[in-house]
Amino acid sequence: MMAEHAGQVDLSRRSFLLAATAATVAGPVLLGLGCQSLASGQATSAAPPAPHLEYFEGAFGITAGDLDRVLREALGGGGDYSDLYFQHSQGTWIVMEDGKVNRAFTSVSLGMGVRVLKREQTGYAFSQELSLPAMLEAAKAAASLANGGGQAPGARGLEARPLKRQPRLDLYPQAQPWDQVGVPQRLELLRRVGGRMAASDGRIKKTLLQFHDGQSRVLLANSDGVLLSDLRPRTSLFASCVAEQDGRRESNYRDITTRAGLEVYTPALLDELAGGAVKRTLELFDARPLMAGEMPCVLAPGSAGILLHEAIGHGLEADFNRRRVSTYAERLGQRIAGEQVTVVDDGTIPHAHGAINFDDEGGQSQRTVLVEKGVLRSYLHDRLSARWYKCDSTGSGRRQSFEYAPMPRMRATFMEAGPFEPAEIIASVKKGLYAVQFTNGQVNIGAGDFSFYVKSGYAIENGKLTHPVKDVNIIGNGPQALSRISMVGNDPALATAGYMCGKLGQTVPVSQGLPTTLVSAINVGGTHG
Amino acid sequence: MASQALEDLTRVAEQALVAAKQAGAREASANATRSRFVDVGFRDGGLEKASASIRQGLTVRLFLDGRYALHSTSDLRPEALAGFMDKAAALTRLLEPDPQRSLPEPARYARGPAPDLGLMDQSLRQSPTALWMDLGREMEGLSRAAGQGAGQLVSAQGGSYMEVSQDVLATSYGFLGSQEETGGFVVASTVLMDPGQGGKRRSGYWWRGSRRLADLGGQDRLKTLASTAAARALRQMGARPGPSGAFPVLVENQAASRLLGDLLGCLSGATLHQERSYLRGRQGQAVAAPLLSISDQPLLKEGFGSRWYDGEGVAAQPFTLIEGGVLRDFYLDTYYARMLGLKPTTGGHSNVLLTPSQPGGFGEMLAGLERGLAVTSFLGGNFNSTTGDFSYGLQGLWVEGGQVAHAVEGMNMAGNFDGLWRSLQRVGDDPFPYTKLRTPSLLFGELRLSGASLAPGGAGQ
Repeated sequence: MMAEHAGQVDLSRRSFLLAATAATVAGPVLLGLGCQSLASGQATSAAPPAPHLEYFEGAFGITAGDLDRVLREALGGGGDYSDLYFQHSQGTWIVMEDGKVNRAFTSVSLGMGVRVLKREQTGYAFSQELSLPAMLEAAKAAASLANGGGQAPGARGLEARPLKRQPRLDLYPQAQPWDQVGVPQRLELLRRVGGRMAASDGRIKKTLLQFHDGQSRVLLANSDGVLLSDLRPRTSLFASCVAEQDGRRESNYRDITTRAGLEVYTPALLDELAGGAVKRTLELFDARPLMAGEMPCVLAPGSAGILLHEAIGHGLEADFNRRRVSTYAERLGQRIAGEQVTVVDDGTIPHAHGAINFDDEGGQSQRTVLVEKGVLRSYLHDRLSARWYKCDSTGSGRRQSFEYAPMPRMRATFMEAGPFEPAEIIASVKKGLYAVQFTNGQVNIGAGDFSFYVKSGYAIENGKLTHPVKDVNIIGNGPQALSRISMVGNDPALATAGYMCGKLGQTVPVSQGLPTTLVSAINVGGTHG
Repeated sequence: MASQALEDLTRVAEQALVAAKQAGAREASANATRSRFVDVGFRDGGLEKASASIRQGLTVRLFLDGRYALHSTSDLRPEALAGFMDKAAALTRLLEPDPQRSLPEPARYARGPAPDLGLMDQSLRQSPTALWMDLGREMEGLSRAAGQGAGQLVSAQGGSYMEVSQDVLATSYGFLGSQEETGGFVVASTVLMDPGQGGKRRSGYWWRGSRRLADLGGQDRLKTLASTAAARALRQMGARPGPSGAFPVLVENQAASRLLGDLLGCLSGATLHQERSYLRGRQGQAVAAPLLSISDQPLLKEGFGSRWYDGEGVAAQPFTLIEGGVLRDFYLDTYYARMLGLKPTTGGHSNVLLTPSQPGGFGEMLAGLERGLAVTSFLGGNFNSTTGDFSYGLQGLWVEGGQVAHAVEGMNMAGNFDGLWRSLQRVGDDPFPYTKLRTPSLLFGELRLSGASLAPGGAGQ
């Protein structure tokens, strides 16, 4: 899906901005189409300074003196905080259709954003040019915007503190960084996966592979004196196919997304992607409809963490609570689920799609317990909400790019292990759904209603998985669904899946996870009732 | 007409074509864009966030040694452009040849002078940031007043957005097109506490947009937006699932864009070529009820999708997609038309219009509904373009005897697009005017709804 974006920059921009404007106040928060991420087991510990620390100075001549001047300009209108966010991103998308690598997209994005806070007011401006006059102009604009558009003559904000490099994590080192990988090596990956898919079964009619790699260099400086830099890699491989049997067509996919270099694509992983896409597609020919209506639902381990993301994650983002528009507002310390339910949002999992070495306003990445044994413990905070709640930021201030101000976002959201054997959970259900593959989650923050889509799963009859089912939508209410989690398995898994999460017009990479989990009753859509 | 910005962009595009040729491209096109925007949000009596900046970019399509790739950059420094093009060409050379790729035949290019589509308003173009700040502030105040009037106000928002954009497309066959546009939007939003429902909030929003500044302000207009937003929040109070079963479904104009968007996806060249469209090979066949006619109208005055040349530089002209329920045409650019052996149209939609089947919009259609569901928004769900199967979560209103019985949430509707569009019973005359997809309200025959529990299933613990 990502590959098509590059081709539609001009076409989609206006409608996108339009949607963003409306969504700013609309409430529904979208979780975009799934891409998977690999939770690699290789733990890396904190951090030798990397050579890219000096990147913006070397490539664009940005000096500490420049940063200081721009910060001072930004605070010149009476602001009480400012940050500068520099970003240089490069990405490559390569498409292989029916065995032919016949198109590619590349993208380069460069710029810096200036944010000014004045109490609860945010002013934001960016520049795609990194010259000092252009940056000063952006700073002046942000200062004025934070001030409600007016100048504040003579008003003097706080002085920026001297910049000092901060330590940070090193969660996504690359053994084979993408800027040292040739195109032929990338094509080799695609040929292996495409070849396996085409050769695997006579019913496969079409194959489509979309490969992406990119890296984003980031430099952050703020008026508290924090100076940080990062190199954020991201790669994904999306394998999909169309199969035909008795005149009927079905399609499905398997994909991976992770923060790593070329080394992540082992032959075993590539074969699993190819085999997974084919298996998931062919299985749909055996799918039968499921009776629609309210029923027990067992969520398979891994990507079913989408339930947490929609049912509670967005609702705990502190901006929604500070404004009291979330259904979870003013519920800290209250019991919202059973004893078995502990939910964590963690930015520190190595190579996870949602991993961040630090957040996009200089906050330290951390593991945040949201729900502990059923009791609501914390919201997800950025600087602005932490200030309002008089607590520490949870390191959750994230942004899509230098064009946007940060806001509280999830990182990797998952549920910890419970006491039950997975088989025991399935066996407890007389008639219900075992849901395996998920996409398209969405939540209405105020009412707490959420929805996500089960691309594939199985019917459960008398405690056994019987036939495959497909294409059913699930809709529920967050607090209600959490209170209906009646069994949690002992098989926690951070999904091999990572997703792109959209909120108020900004998209960021996230991860999610869940052990096998039973929700005792939830509304499942379908064509048979 | 040529503003400084257009002149700058034209120079960038022409330089890019020269660089592409030097890098070895046989054919190339360059699209340079720039936009200035102001985005303002007030909430609960104060400014929440204001952003303003200029965004520009260049996208180049290279046709090189029979190979094709597309490259974009926001780094327009001359010294960066040369390196960008060299890297772009090097990557393109490593792909496999695709002889069907080329620029469109020169005869299909749009020819100037550009028609006046009413897309640019001088007063909006010259409007200062402060004007949008004031508009957002005023909108928030009215939105708050309307929310307070409705009772149980949790939060009120008012926002404004403006954009002035320029687009220049140049191709190596000598096509040079440019378009300059303005657009402004104002939005009201209200969140109310639902007293009967333990902490549930009901939100409503409404907005308007125009190419022209004069269409946006004015207290009466803003008051209407504020009261509409509050009324939309109010009407969701006490929402609960309706019954499960097969019922007629009315979809409000704004929400119907989801259904139309999924349908248009099945008409795109890439989807058809990948055999991921349930409408593949069905040109000339009835695929919907006879009262469905859909057309693409790029030359609509002041339309949000209006243009006189498309992404390839081809002359924009209206065409029919579905006429009297019969599938007439697809969205096909030069490449996909060739791959599918069909006549090219255009690669992507402009303004999409449906012909009303009889007078009356959402209100009249609801009043005529004996028993069924009125969908006011979709929540999640999915459409499978390969099979046409859909399953959408939704919110809306349960209707009995032409009256709203109660608000609805927590329901799904499912079926197949073949059946859905064939069951279409009425197309409203209330197209939603502020987007490219100008969908009216649509009334469908019986659809499978799942809502309130049928019977207790086998339970877990």
